Amino acid sequence: MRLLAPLLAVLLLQSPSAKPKPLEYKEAKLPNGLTVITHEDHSTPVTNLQLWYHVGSKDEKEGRTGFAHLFEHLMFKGSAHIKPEDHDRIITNAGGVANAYTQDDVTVFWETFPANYLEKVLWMESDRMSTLDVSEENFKSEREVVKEERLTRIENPPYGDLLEVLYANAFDVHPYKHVTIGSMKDLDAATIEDVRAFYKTYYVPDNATLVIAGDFKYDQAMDWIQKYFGNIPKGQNPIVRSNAKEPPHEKERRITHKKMVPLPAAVAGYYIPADGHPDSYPLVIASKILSEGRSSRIYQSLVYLTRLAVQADASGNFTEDPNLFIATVIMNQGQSLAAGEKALNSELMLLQTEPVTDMELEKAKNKIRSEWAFGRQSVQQKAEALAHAAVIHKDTATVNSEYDLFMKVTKEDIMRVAKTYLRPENRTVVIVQP
Amino acid sequence: MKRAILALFVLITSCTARAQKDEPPTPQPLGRVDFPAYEKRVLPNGLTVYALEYHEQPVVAVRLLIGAGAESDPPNLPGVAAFTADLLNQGTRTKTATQIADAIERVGGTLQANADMESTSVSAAVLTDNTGLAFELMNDILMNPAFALDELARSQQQSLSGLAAQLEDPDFIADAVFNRQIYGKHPYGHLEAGTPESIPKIKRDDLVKFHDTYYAPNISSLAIVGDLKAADAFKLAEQWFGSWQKKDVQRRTEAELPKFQGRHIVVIDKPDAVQTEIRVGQTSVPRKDPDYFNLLMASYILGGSAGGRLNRTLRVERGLTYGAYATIVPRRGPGSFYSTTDTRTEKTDEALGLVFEEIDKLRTVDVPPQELQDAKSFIIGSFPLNIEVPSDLATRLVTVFLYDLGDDYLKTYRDRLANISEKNVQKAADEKVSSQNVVAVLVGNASAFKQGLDSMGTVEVIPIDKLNLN
Repeated sequence: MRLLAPLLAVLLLQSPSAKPKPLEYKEAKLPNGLTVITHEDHSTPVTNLQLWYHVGSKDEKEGRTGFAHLFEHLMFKGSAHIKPEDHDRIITNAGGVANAYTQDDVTVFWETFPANYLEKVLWMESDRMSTLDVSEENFKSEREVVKEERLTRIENPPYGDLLEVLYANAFDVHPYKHVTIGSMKDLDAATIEDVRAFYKTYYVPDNATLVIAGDFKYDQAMDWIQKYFGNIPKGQNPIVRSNAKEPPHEKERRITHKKMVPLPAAVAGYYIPADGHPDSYPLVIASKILSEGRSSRIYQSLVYLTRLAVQADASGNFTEDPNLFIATVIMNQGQSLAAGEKALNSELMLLQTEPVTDMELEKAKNKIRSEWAFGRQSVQQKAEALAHAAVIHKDTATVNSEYDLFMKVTKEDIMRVAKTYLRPENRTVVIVQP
Repeated sequence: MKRAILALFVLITSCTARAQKDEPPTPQPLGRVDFPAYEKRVLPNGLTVYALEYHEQPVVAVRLLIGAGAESDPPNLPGVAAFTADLLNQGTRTKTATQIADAIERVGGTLQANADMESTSVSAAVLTDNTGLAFELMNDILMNPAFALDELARSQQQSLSGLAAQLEDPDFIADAVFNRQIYGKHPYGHLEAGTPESIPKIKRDDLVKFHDTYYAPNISSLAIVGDLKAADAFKLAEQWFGSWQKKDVQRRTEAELPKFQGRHIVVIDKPDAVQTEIRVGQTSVPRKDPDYFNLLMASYILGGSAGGRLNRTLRVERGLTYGAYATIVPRRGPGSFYSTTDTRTEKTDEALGLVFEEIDKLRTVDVPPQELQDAKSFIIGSFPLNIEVPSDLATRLVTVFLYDLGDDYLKTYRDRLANISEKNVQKAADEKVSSQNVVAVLVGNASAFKQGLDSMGTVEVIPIDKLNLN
């Protein structure tokens, strides 16, 4: 201990509170409506680029579930100057990584690459934003790939379709009722005309946010962005967004799902407000107290002390529109699902009837503090945090200001949101038994 | 070029193509990127310590790697290394499991312990002001684990339930059966986490013995990466691990590897499956073998990326799968070289046939220079991407130790890769990769595709409820 004390003092002097550093950025809008956000980080000669199109599975029209994601795949099928499959090839041959993902609200294309490739990657992204060029043959073959993806992710794994069943039953009106991958039937129904219309409407500069984080000089990067994106015309078709609001549900919905599974499981979804809503911050803190780490309540009571469950957790799915706080339990062999559900419920009830302890609140906030540091180390993490703030919160400054909102959460806030949202009448439950 | 002459070319938009956009910009060359400077010291007890300063965020990542894992499990008792590691943070002489979890989570840190096939790792990540706590906890769980009976029982029950779920997952089953088939009784072939039969047999004494035998500084390495001075890092290493006692570690002797003549196709019949999981491959060279890099290039060309041959043929050209890849698994002893994909049930034999064809092509047809150049550019070019964050840096350092790659390895390996020729790759593939004397494991609805396999090799069908992974 003698050695440690003076050493720690030195460390403390170096970084008094170890408060995570704020993310510095610049933001601009081109005349054609493209939002551009930049963050310079010269520590490693690597840059990450993300292009967020504000279109996701919630924007799909009736009978075309899965289309936004299918379209994401087609963005790799060639444009005026880039042959099909060459996008990936060019990036990987440079030692970089390229991929894309589709969610309820957004479709995101990203690349991480050695810093000298920035201009080339900007050129490539601008090419497919302005001149995507998909053949009927490639469209059909890629649709088979997406159907395989559905089999791999949803249909073949033992619990792969639980969330799909939950969402189908939890939402009546709002398009979150179908999960992003969509149905086989709708995928089969999609046509090349759909592709054309979707591209023309949504893949336009005024519906996109370009973020670059990494080793570049601002002026040079902005020149290139202007050069490659500046004269892509604005979208011509109006973007009509669903304003469907899920009406409040008055009583619990319960569904027994038939599927071969090795262990009994239940998943419960409670309606909660959107990402960035003032109540979302105490709900995040609540989920950390409930189920993050081995000292958390649900781990302790369901997994550790009683050995009821092999896995149990609870956390919010925060999105642009109101979504679900999802509690999951998978039972241990020989344990009844009823016992598991009861234990999970009593943890959620306890949050409504008794304040959390000082230590629990401190612990949850410290977790946020270290997420802010560990979750913002790589250029990809930084770019993603910026894009999320800009597109989902529509306010890039929240990338830093949210920190204080988390730190201000009180015990009373947690009790209040637990009472408001984590009520049995406010949930949909899906159970599945071997 | 084949696509350019297709008549069904549909132009989706007619945005003006601007002259300045037609020519792709040529990237300026990137200066050489070196692994960040670090210091290495070997303590008197044999512990190899690496310290690397990283000041971008106020964080510290510490990783201790012990060079013994599941390969050192007692014969017929797979899972001992995994349970020994798993119980480290489940209680010490002075702290309960919950007290340990509380202590690290209270400061927003993480503390993890686990064993894989050849090593056991304990790692901690904290904000800098909790560095002392991280070392104190790592020291305590490594030196004074309680291995309490009730914790062991709990952990066994968790593992058995988890395994019951995994044994319904075709992806997991395919990997497990494939490794068992190619390695036979060699310890690399068993399940690291144990089997439904072995787990209940593991006793506290087995863990105590494993800990006494293999947890030794002289087969271990400690990497400290973060926002602190190297001199302070070494002081902490000395303080918390300097008195760890050196041991004479005896390694288990390794069993013979099975030899395969012809294609040995094993089908695990899962009648409710909608897809078939496919693995094809064999054992390969050790990590330190001179051919390792040649085979790494070969695996990359065959299926190291979305642009690899397998994915191009199976996914891009035919829409048979979400992905098809190949990989070489590094081991101190014999590694493995295998291909992996999945496809809808009715396309199983077509997909398997294509995997065999691509392996043959790799062995018999000259590798086009451009393809090798692309593979090199990726492996060499991705270097800066893999040294961005402290935990990655720490992992790279202890990996050099694990495979005994030498102090100049991180400096020189890119030059060594750059010198590989097409002939090197093709010769290594021809000698060490096979589509003929090979194991193929398929997990799926056998009755729907079994007939189509008979012409490809000897076929053995095992109903899923008769699966034995011991």
